[in-house]
Amino acid sequence: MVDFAQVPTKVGYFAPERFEAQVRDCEVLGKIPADMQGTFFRVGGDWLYPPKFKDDAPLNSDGYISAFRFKDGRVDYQGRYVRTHRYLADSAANRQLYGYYRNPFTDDPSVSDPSRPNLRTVANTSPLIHAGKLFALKEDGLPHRIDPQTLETVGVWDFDGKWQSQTFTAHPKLDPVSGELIAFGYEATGLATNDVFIYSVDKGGKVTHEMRVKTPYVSMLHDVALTQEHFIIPMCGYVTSLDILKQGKIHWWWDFDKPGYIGVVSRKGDGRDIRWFKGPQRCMMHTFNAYTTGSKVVLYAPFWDGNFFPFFPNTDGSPFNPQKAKAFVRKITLDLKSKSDTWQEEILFPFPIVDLGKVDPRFLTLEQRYGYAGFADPNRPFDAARAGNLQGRVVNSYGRFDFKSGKFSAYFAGDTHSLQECSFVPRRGSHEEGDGYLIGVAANYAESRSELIIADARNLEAGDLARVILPFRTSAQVHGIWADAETLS
Amino acid sequence: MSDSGCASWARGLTRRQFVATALSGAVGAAIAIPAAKAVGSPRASFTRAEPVVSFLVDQPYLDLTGRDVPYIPPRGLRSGTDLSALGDAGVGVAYGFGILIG
Repeated sequence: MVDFAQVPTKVGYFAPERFEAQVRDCEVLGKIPADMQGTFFRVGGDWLYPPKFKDDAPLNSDGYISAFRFKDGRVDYQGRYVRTHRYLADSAANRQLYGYYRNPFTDDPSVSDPSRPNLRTVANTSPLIHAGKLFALKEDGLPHRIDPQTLETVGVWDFDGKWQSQTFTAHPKLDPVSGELIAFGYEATGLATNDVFIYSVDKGGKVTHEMRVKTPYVSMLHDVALTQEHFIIPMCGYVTSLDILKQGKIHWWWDFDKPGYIGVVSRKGDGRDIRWFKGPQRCMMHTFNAYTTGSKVVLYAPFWDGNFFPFFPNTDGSPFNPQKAKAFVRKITLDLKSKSDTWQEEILFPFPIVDLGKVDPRFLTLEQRYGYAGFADPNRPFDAARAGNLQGRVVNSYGRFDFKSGKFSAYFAGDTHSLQECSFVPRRGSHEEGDGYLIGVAANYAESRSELIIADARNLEAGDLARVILPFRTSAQVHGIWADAETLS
Repeated sequence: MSDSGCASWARGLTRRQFVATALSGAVGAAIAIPAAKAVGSPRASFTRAEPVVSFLVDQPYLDLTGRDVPYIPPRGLRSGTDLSALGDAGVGVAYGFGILIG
């Protein structure tokens, strides 16, 4: 019997969903911009069966891909589970067979295989489009190729056998200048290994370059940054080991004694020139962008002050500290000619944001001006009677952060809403940075439904251009991307 | 951590119990469950209150210290309450109207 009642956090808007859906010609408030012709793909997680362990990470939920398809002012919606090996095994058994997040030692004996941990990936983190193919990604496994029209799972993709890492990042980078995909896998040779394999893939989808590096300690390498010359690897704080895993514990723990590191390595080399800069502890989950100027690498990143995942315990047994779960827009400068082994860091805006930062993708790897991220504005109204006691605790706004001038503008979603990650959609025919639309899914807690908001990225204060209404809650995404209609044609 | 290990602190806290407490209007009250078991290898002892379901980074989470502000979802079916357990008066409260006349 399926019973989520034992999971205390699956309440209210966050109660289990567990369905696949298709909605033709969605209800739209306002007017869809005429040049929005394409698809917004989203990947997130939705537990098919309840977790085996009540304190498991929500990040261990089953992968779910959804699409909002825009054509001639109309929008269709579709959402489907990613048919991973785990999804198929659980479906056949009619129960949860898999244990803790990224720990195969805690799986049911019928599926446990610590020698092939990537088989148990849930592919629940982000979509990727490259060389005409669509993928669902998670950093503990290989990409799952998805049919962009039906959202059916085609299968695991290993770049025609050229991908040698056991894992593939959820944050590969698309170089807008060359069309290359730069991607990596960490724990590349197995559980708790410090091997990282980094690949260049040409715009036709062929692997053209590989390099291998090792990290100072085994840690989560969730996201990286890319410039035209360099590949940048931030890491900090999270630790694991085979001992921890064999004890049947969750994969990641936060160690206050571990310093932060940022590795910088030439894109075209063999990896031996990697330089590790050492600095204060930050929780380095995502990046905005980076560029190289002379001997300096400038990295913009929304790093947290400390561990922001309450389900990844501290190694010293101390309780989770929500006061450390604050991210800020940071500018980090790494000087490759400096004798100092640390970096310079500035906080560009004084208020906390959520660390899901985006830039205009046409300016990735280049010196760009704007970043976009969600944040909780406590000064905006929130209707607690209709939406719960969440005043000041929900991401109710998107901000455009001008890294050059320090100016800031914001979009507000509404007094019963919270916002998931935003995505930037360039206006067709425009080449100017920031000229386009900011889109993202809002949770409407009062109506228990999801709404896709579309705003003018250069005029966020004006509110919606349009809002696509779904008659239900769609699975929360982790990450999403926009694809013009021609990209997957 | 084995399943029996984590169940020692979570066994008593179900979604329905959490919501029943929220609907009773016990704002700010901690959910009464056994004290949480420390994880890892604690080098220091920390006094723990009773855990609560709180809210952080747009998601509910279980605060083992019991110090964070509880999350109280809006009343109604989406709060996960089992209607059959509420009775007529409870349904009326959950849906914001008077006693049902059957």
